[in-house]
Parts: sequence; structure tokens; C-alpha cells
Amino acid sequence: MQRRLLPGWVGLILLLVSAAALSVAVGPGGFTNFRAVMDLRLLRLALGIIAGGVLAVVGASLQGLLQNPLADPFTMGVASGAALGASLTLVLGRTAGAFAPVGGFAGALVTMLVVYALARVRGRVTVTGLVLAGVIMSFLFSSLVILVMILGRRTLGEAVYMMMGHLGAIFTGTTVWLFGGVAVLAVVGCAWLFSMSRSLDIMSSGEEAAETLGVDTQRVTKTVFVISSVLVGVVVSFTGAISFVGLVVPHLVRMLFGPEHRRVLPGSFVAGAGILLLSDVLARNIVPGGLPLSIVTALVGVPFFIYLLRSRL
Amino acid sequence: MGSGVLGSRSGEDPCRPRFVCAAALAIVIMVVGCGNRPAAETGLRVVSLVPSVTEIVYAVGAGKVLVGNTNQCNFPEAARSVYKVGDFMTPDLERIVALRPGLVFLALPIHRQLLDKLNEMRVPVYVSRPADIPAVLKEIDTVASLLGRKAQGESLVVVMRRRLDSIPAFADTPRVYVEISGTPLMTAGGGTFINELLARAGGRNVFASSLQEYPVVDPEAVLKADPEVILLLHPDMSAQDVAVRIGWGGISAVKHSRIYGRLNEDLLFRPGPRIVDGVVLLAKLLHPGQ
Repeated sequence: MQRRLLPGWVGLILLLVSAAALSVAVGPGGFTNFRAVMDLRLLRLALGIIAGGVLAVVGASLQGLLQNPLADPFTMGVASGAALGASLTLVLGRTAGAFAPVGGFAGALVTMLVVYALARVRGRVTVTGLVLAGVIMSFLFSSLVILVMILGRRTLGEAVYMMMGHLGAIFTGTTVWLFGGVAVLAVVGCAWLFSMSRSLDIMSSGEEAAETLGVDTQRVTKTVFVISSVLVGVVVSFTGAISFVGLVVPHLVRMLFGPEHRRVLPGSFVAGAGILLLSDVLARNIVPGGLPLSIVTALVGVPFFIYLLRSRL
Repeated sequence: MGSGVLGSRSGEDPCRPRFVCAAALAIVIMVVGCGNRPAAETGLRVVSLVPSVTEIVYAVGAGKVLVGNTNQCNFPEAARSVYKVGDFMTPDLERIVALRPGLVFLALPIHRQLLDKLNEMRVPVYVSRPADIPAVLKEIDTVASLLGRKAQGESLVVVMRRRLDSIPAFADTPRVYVEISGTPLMTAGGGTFINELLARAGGRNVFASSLQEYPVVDPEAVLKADPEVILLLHPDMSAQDVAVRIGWGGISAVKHSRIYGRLNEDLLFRPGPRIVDGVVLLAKLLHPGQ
């Protein structure tokens, strides 16, 4: 069993390392001002690893919890809430420094509370309730983002960019500390989700079945929901909504390692980080001026996915 | 009589209350409708959907013919009190038509659908689309003629030309990075008006070679271009906020504190009579002491 997995792990780690090396070595800035460019690239690297890893892990966890292979980190509506928070800070004219990420996170938090409240019936939260509430809130907040941008007379280009995701966040002294906190939070959150691997495995067969097997489904559902929302919220407030990574990377990893979460979750972190970094390298360097990240993640991920799919059939 | 819409009340004619209501409603509609219309003007009635053309209208002394403009038409002061037909981006066709205009000023490509509608309704329109400074001067002439103020238009153009020509040739052409937005980083490319003003003021836009009008740029590209001056054209950030950006400390503009924010953006974005003020403003920032 172990030997079959080793090539998979080696491949993923190799992917991450080479993507990281590329993202540090190649960029539009060349090497004109070495230290400054390195500062920017290392920050980008850190952001990419955290964002890619978190999105993939959360995607995998939600797919298990919701028993739905099409679930992704944004199913709960948190990303739209974060985008709304960020667009409000933009329109209120306060994007400098820490305001933008904090605004985004505030939006994500509000969304989480609203979705939770909507899905709660007599103290119990069902998985279906969370999904429905999340999807509804996602629609609502996405529309509100456009409305806010129109009323605030900002260009829609900025809103689109926020909803398509980017790793080019501008950091200042304060926001780097903020990001440091986010990174710690991300690691803690992912570790917590990892510790619930067994429960997630069992819940993949359905809530009722899990109950009879002794899993406290309420605790698992609520915990996973809150951790996912917080994690996605902090990431999205820095990067916007990067699509595809959370949806497809877990499936890629399951093809390599099988369905057990104690392998899928760590594998997703490594794979998600690697794929996101690779996509970012391409997005930045292929076209002068760069492409929106979500477009490239899709273009990179799909062929990869098809290759794996065909080789397994 | 039987039970009608208003219920049955024995002995009362159920039709009368309905007539009264209808009449009252009609009166209310007429009063409200009339109240919203400005006082009738004799002669040409002009609606301007373009803030820069509004400025031209006032600059040639034809402000009185303006019966409607947009929320963004804020200069000169008199333009603010004119009836508003909506935003520059989204003007309301109904409001425009209700004013019975004899001429409508609009801009392409933003008012494309409106233009088609107005053409269908046979409302005379003038399309504003000045691409550079000579085109703006020509537009002032054209608009002035349309409003019967040809002489005023010509003298305004002469004054503007003289002011432009009096700008001296400068000793240097500093590299300039124009920031339109901070999240994400957006700049003005080569085909934009601000680029033209910058060139006239003796500066060089580091992203002038970009094909897009307002491209999003990678911060590394800004580092590589090493601008000597940074212009912030969005109100939510100050020079200080830019100076603390990580990795930006080595840029010439940051090192020499030549980051300028809180500028009057209308002078730089509107292709109207104040472009010379815009050029002068830029020239003073780019070449202090000259």
C-alpha cells in the first residue's frame, strides 16, 4: 500500500517545489532591483502556497461533508461575502493598508453567520440547509457587489478582478503581519480538519449512516462549516475568489491516493499549492500585463485532470 | 346595486367614488409630471450627457440653452442646478425625451444604445469623441457653432492654444507611472487622454506601450519601469500609503518623495476647456521650479 503511494507523493512534492522555484525565478520585473523584486516574489509565493493549500483542503473537506463531488470552497457563499466586504471598502474610499483584507474578512464572517442562522432548525444544522443557504447568499452577495460598484461609481473592472482572483496583493508593513496571522490560522485550521479525517470518511456515506456509526454529525458539520468559512474568508480577502483549485484538486488527489481523507487532505494542500503557483507563473508571464488567475487555473487544471482521468479508465 | 370593486353599500352609487379617484389620480399625475419639468425655454433646448461638453457649453456662454445634464456635470457651478437626467454612465432615456430636446450631446462608445434609440426617434445628436488635444480644440469649435456661438468658440480656442504654446520646452522628460486604481493596480495605457496630457506636459508614461486603455499591471512591472514620478488618480490612497508598500522602497519616485495624490481628476480626465489647466498642473508637478 505504501509503495503505491510513494510515486504520487513524490510527484506532488516535485510539482510544488518546481512551481515555487519558477515563481521566484521568473517574473515581469526581471532582476532589476534584486532585493525588492525578491521581496515581492517571496510574498507572492507565501500567499500562493497558503491560498492554494487552503482552497484545496477546504474543497476536499466540503466534498466529504456535503457528500457532493461538485462542492467547492465557495459553495457556502463565503467568497461572495468577502467580495462584498472588499468592494464596500473600495467604494468607501478606504482600501489603503489593512482596510481591504479586514473588510473582506468582515464580509466573509457576516456571510458565515447568516448562512448558519438560516440553516439552523431547532438547534440542528443539516448539510442540505447549509448548501441551500450558502448558494442563496452567494447569489445575493454577488449581485450586491455589482450594485455597490455601480452606486459607488467604480469601474466594474475592479469588481471583476476581485471575483476572478489574483495573487498580486500589495503588502505594506501592517498587512504583512496580518498575513502572518492568516498563515498561522491557515495551518491550524487545516490541521484541525485533518484531525477530523476519520469522521469525514464516515460522513461521506451520508449523515444518517454516520449517526448510526457513532459520529457526532452535528459537531462535525458545525466545526467543518465554521473552519471552512473562516479559512476561505481570510484567504479570499487577500486574493479574491480563485476558482477551480478547490473543486478539482481534491479529485486529482483522490485519483492518486484513494478516498481516505487522512491522505487526501494533506495531498490536496500540496497539490493545491503547486497547481496554483504554476498557474500564477503562467498567468503573469505569458501575456504582458498578465491574465486573471482563475482563467489560467482552469486552463492548467483541466488538461491535467483529463490526463489523469484517461490514464485511470 | 350589486357589489362592485368598492364593496356593496346600499343606497350609494358605487361608480362615483371610482370617478373621483380616477380624476384625482389624473390630476396628481399631471401636477407631478409638470412639476418635474423645467420652465419652458424658447429656442434651442440642449441636453448634454457628457460632462466635458457641458463645460464647453458654459465656456462659450451658451449655458442658458442647457435644459438637462448628468449627475457628473459639476462644472461650472451653474451646471449643478440644471435638471439631471441620470448618470453619465446610465442616463435615463425617458427623462431626456421628456425634455423635448432639440439637440443631445453624447459620447461613444458608452452611449451606443442610447444613440441608436435617439436616431430612431429622430432626435438630433452630436457625438463627442475627442482622441487628443487638437481634437478637443476642434470639438470646442464645432459645439460653439452648433450653439450659435462661433465667435466665442474661436476666441476660446485661441486663448487655449496660446496658453499651450507658452508652456516651455523642458529640460527633462521624467518617467511617470499613473495609477488609476490600487486594488488591483491599474494604469492608463497609450491610447488614453491622460497619456496625451502627460506627453504635452513633458512626461513619459511608463506604460504608454500598453495596448489596453486601462490595463491591470503587475507590481513587478512598475518596479522594473522605475518611474521618477507617481501620480495617484484614485481618491482612496494617499502618497504615504504608496510609500509604505513592500518592495516599492527602491523606486525613484518613492525615494525622492515624488508621489502626488489628491489631484483634481476632472482636469485630467475631461477632454474639455480645462485641459490646459490639466497640462499646466502636470507640468508643475513634473518639473518643479521650471
